[in-house]
Amino acid sequence: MRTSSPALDFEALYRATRDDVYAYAATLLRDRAAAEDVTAAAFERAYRKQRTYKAARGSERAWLFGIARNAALDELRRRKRSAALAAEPADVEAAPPEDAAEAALRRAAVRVALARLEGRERELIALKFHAGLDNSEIAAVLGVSVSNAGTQLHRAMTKLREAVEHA
Amino acid sequence: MPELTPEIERELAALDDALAGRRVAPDLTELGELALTLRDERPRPSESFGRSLDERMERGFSEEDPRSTRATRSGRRWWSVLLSAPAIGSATAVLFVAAIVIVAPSGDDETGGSAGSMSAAQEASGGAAAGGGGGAAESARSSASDSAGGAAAAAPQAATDSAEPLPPDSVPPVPARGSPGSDRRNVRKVERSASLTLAARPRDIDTVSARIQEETRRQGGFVVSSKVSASPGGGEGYFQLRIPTRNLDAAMAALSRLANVRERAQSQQDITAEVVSARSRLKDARTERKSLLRQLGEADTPTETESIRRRLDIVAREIQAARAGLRRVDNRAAFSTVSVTLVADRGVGAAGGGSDDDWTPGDAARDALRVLEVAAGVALIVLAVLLPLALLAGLAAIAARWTRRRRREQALDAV
Repeated sequence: MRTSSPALDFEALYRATRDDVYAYAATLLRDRAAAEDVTAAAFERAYRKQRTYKAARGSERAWLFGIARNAALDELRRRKRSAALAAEPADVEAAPPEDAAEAALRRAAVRVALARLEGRERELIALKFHAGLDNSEIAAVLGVSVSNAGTQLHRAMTKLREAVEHA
Repeated sequence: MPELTPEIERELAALDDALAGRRVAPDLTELGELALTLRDERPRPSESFGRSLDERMERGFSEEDPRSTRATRSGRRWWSVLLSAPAIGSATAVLFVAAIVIVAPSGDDETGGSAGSMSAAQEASGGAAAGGGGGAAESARSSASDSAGGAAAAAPQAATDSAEPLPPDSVPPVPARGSPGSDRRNVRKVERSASLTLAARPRDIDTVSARIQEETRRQGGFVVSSKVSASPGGGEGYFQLRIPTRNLDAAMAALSRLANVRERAQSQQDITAEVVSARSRLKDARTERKSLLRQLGEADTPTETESIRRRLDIVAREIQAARAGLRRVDNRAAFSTVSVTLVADRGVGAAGGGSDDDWTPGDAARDALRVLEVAAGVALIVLAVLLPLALLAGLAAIAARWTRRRRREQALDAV
């Protein structure tokens, strides 16, 4: 295996973010198979470009998610289709049997509301809640200012709350 | 984008608090619960995919991996094209400079100077005419020369053929003997002329001038006119030479070796028709004189005799003029006019054929300066080519990046 750049412990980054990248891609694409492809592509690209990482430009996670975002958008352009994740079989882990009925209903409402959001809004939700990025990292990934990222996130959350209420 | 309002900042902080497990303000409890629900709804990869990706990670995402995605491969192709742009630009610049070096006439290379000023056709026909030009006077010339002369004579014939193509079954008319259209290469007369510009160091002007005249005599020619001026800082010379046509090529080569050739050109003209015309005039005058002499013998009266004698005097002058005309036109074919211009140039090396013994440190310094000048010139040309190319490549890369980013964002809008 290729040795990692001293500035970037790629293996550690991979271990820490593998599931986050997948979660982001799956939420954005709403297609598990496509999300797997994009996740693999993102790590492959990042692995090959790891020497280009500059710590001064942002965190390792922001750098990686920038690559993952490009891979996801390339996939969107290529496929020109998106199978709704909500239409896929429910994740057993996501709905444990001991959950109360009200909580299950709320989860379902959130899932439906999330699916109704526009791509950009859903991407913000994915980066914040599924990938676990903070606002500055989201700003770095999207190439906008932190305040702009915060404003967009707030707008997406407002829209999501409204959609949940109407779901 | 305006700054975040306090309310927005408060709600964003509540989201972070909820995700971090901290207490959220009572009026934002619902928002905090939504954040936790969203986090719980996070998709998780299947175990099989996780294992597969871990294995690929362990292998370092090798190239031959069958799961290399198309998106990744296309990305590499795109970047490889971008990365190769400077290489393409450099190769183009090198080719451009090489083309300039090859095409530009070189003063240091006498053959290069010739190639720069003579067309291929001129060179071929010029060399051929050397054989054919003396064909009349030297009818027993070797077959090699004859064939060369034939090439020269064939050129105008070929031009005629292309202008008026004959049907395949027709027989072309045989041109009259000695006419311009005739293919009688043995009797063709060609007038040749050449010009040569030589560059020598100022102090070599006198030496090279003397050698030009010496070489002219050695080739059997003579100097028609010459004008030479030399000074410590410069000088120039102009020579009008007449060289036997059969020695023209050898003379040009010898003269070219005397200094650096700046320019060399040759031209030729078929004057067979003028020769034929001069001969005809002479022949006609001689025929008339014979006739007059016969009439003189048969004259009966003194008046008739006196008239024929006056006529004979006129014809005798015509014969003399016709002979002179024939000699002139023969001379035009037998001797070629060579114009040699000699110019002073500090940058050139020692005159050709000179000894290297007089090569001084000053010469070395000048040569070194010259080398630096040439190197700087080449560097400037390369820079002039590479700079716009690099600029264009940079702009293209920026435009491509912007376009790609825009297309990606558009893809997001379509979700």
